[in-house]
Amino acid sequence: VAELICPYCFQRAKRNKLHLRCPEECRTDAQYFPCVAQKCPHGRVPPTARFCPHCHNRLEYDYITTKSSIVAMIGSRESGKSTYVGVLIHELRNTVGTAFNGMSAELVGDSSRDRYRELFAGPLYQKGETVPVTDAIRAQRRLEPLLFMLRFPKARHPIGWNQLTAAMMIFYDTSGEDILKEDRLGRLAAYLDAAAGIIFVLDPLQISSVRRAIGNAAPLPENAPNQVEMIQRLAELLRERRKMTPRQRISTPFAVALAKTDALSGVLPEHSVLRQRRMHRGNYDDADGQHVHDEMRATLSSWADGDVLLNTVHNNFSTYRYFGFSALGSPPASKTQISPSGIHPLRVEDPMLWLLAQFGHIRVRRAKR
Amino acid sequence: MTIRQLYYTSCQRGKEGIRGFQVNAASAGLPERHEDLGLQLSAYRPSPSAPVLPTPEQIENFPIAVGYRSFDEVAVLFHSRYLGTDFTGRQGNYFAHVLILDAPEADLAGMLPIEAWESSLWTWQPSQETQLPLVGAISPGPLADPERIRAHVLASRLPEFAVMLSAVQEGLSGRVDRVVIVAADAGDVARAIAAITYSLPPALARAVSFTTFTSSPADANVLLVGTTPDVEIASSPYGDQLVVTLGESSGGETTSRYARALGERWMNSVAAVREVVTLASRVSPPLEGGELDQFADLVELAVPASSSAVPALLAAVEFGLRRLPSVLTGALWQRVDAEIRRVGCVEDVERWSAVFAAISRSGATPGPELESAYMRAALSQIADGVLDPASIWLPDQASGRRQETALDWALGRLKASPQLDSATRVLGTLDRLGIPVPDTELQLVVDEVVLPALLHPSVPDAISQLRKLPQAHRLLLLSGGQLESRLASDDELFDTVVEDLSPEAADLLDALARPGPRCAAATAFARARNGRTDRVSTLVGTLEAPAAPEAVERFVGLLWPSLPTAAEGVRLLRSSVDKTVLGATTIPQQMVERLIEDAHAGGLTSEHAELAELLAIKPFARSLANAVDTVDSVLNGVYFDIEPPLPEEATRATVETIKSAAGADEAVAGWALRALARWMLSLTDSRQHAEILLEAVKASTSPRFLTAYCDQLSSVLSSARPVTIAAILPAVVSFADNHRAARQLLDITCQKALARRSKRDLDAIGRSFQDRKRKRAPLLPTPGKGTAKDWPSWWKDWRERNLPKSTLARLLRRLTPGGDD
Repeated sequence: VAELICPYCFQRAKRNKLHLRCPEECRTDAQYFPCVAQKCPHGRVPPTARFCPHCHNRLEYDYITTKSSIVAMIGSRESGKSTYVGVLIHELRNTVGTAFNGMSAELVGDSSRDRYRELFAGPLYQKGETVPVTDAIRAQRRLEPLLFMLRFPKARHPIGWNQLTAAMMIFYDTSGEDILKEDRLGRLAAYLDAAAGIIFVLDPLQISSVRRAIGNAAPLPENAPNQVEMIQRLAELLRERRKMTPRQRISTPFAVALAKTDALSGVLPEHSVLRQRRMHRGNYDDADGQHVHDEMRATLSSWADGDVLLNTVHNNFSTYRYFGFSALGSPPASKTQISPSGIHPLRVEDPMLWLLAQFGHIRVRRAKR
Repeated sequence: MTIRQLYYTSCQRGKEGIRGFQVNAASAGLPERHEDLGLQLSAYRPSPSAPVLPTPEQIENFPIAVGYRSFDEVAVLFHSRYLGTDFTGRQGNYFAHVLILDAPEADLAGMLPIEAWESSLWTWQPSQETQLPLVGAISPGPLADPERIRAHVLASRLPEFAVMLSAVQEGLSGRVDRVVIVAADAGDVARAIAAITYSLPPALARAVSFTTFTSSPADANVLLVGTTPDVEIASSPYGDQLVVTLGESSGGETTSRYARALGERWMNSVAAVREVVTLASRVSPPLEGGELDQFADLVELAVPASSSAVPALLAAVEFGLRRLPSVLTGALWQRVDAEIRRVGCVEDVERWSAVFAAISRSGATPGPELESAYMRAALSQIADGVLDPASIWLPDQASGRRQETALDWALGRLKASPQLDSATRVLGTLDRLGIPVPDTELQLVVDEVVLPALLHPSVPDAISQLRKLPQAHRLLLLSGGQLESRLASDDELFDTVVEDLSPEAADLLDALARPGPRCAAATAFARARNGRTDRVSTLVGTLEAPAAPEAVERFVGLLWPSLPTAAEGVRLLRSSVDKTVLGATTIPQQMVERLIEDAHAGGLTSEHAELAELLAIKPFARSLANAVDTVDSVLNGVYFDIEPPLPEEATRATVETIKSAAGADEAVAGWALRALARWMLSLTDSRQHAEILLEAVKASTSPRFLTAYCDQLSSVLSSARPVTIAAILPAVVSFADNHRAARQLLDITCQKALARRSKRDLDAIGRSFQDRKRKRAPLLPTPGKGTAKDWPSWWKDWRERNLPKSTLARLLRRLTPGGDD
């Protein structure tokens, strides 16, 4: 990896321009210095840990040596982003791997492991509670990345099966409040610009026609924000950052993931593909993805502002796909408690697998036409 | 002076017009960048062990975060607490009440930021309006009562207080980024922060940023970070983060001087703490974090009740002089004097010099102990050449203390190091400073340094150094007087002085010390003893008539550390000193020893003969006892060597010589016998030679004579003219013929000596036998014993039998020293 993007400050840095830090013996005189130096300014041999030359956050060895892709995730407040992150990583680590020749998904670095355990795994899988509300980036100062590495054996390798493919994924859980207004979204600009793929979590319960269709079957947020405007705001921001004209489409793969499909029992057709679990067989099933994509478009088109959403996505992104998932598998018992039946996610991995296929990390099984 | 405020929480209505976390309300005119500063500081996340779904009672017990940090433009004071659910019912909501102080010092109005702990000002209810009024004043909470803080500190928390205050000092100095205080109760953290900030001058206290609680200490951009024990604290190996767990301090940690000083003050009273803090606030320009330890030393000096040691005394005084001159009162100088008494000396003279210069300019008067210690240190460094007196401050020339201290220092140093170079430095220093040295003080130099250097110089150039000694003339005058006085009181000292005094020292004393009679005698003896003047004249000039033998003996012993020479002996024995007195001494024996010694060394001359003649006269001969034979041997040797005897006396003289040699010293006897042998071998009359040789051998009771004769014979035969050899050989042949024991003279000695001679010499010897062959005929070997009818025949025959025939063999013998011995 000749050049990488720091997952903390999103600045680009060449690998040979990363910094080292003095050893412990230098105590409070410790300094950061370019890694080409054999010894620190005090003449001592430094530890091997590398640091971002811009923000001096530590960069894990696996991160430096593995091609990485930043996956940005945005969505309105209460759309279920944090829950989605928590369940997705759990699924990748525990379920999806089997279908991909024993793929493993490992959180990288103590920071990611601690953060995942504290904020996601603990509440969801140990205590059966919903994920607490995420504070705004304004108060957090910075986004905390969740780094996880995917490793899977190369299929049909000419030499043998021992070869491994590795991909580093960086997930950020953002606060819904941060995309509600343009000035707030601006704080995420660097992060979104650096993303290799974007997952937009669409909350159907914040769409007025869907709310009316499902009645009071689930607790609903009040005064839902306009999610189409969020996509428009995102597109404007990326165009501005990338100095694109209004006639150009953004090339970043854009996954529109409809969340909480478990709450749409009265809305989705009986035999909807969104209600069916899909078993993966070592590749991304593009036919199934296309099926879901088409059904989602049809469903969205039937909702108020649905066409506006479809057109907005189509006119702003060159590569996009629609998904539907349920992170918990059933509506939570309350705002703070998940269903007593537990977590049974449905198609939660689809957007991620599509992005992995887009990045070239996994193979795609094309639809027969 | 404006205090703006904002509320931040997750709410449905707020200033930002969104739902969720936002600024709920804020004072008008609060810039967004200031809002951001406050929000980032006041963000709240519960600790890991906090219940995810807490009850209202549990929420009440969530730690409250009160924090403060000063930025360039403003300072932020906040109060954050967990609320549990927000309007949506989800957990994770909190309420931050943030004050933005645009003039922190004035806005706080003398209160410490931590005094806002539990202030009635704080709220955690969202506002219905989006605009909040300005805050008029910050009402202090219970921590505004210092007695409460003191009670907290005294409750077994003094060690951890010192540790934390030390760490905060490090933080204020930029050496530590973060001090994490771990306690289950955020109130304890607040009280600890209060104790620390109360112990600092207000300006520094306001520079201490803090928060009473955070669940992620590594992300808190404040110096003092409170947290709970369940929070995992990422360790920093670089020493830039210190972790203090309240209640776990062992008291063995290293703490700063300031922290220890303040700890003592807390023990005493709140007033004592306040006294220090007030003093600190008077420092101008204001104290910085890294200066607190220096200030602590000044505190120990400036506060009358203090009795602690001040390790960095100079730094403290300098600090006071530079930053708080009003504190340098008489009481402080007394305290400095006490410290000087404890320590004993001052170091870093140049810095103290600057201090004294500044003090003298201000008209203040430092304590006498300090001035004295400084003077001593300065004088020592001047004496050692480290300092130039012109470059440092010294008391006024007219000051009596200057002279008194300098002399005291000089005496002390000389007593400690009574060496010549030390005296040179000390006196040189006093000289450079124009400090007169009274005779009484110089007398010490004389006793301890000058006289020992004169009598027992420890360095080779001691006299040269003495000459260069400052005030050398005065010192030597005093030394002369002192020496005279000692010689007068101690008669035996004279001998010691003469023995120890070098001629250079004697010259120096004579030249500069105006010596008294005893001293002059000692110097004269010393010079004579060392050969600079005539010993005999000195002796004769010194002895009073009538001289006692003991005195003569003593003076001779002093003047001649070894035996007098033969010439000195002759002069001494012929001097005006009474012969009887001389004869009663050991001097005649010494003269005999001289003869023996010189005889051993190589030879005796006419001087020795003269000496021997003098020794042979009655007054001396009587005291010689057994040494008479030695003297006679010398006389006999000289007799044969210089004045050969008449033929009629020759035999008698020879016998006498041999007899006296028998009782004489071996070397002298050998010398005399060799002289006799040489004379015998020089005789041209072979018959006389043979007769005397025979008599001599008869008179000998030891082989000494034959040995001497043999040596001389070998020598003569090797080099003498053929005619001489032709005269000697008949005597030897005759002697060998009549004395069997001497046969080897012919067979060995003559054979070896003549074997080295050339054929031409041997032929010449043969021809020489033609002369006087009749006269020598009686000396031929007895008929029947040999076949020679005359000496030429004998020579031919002997040569045939005993000497090598080939030229090469002779040449080899000649070239080989000692031949085939």
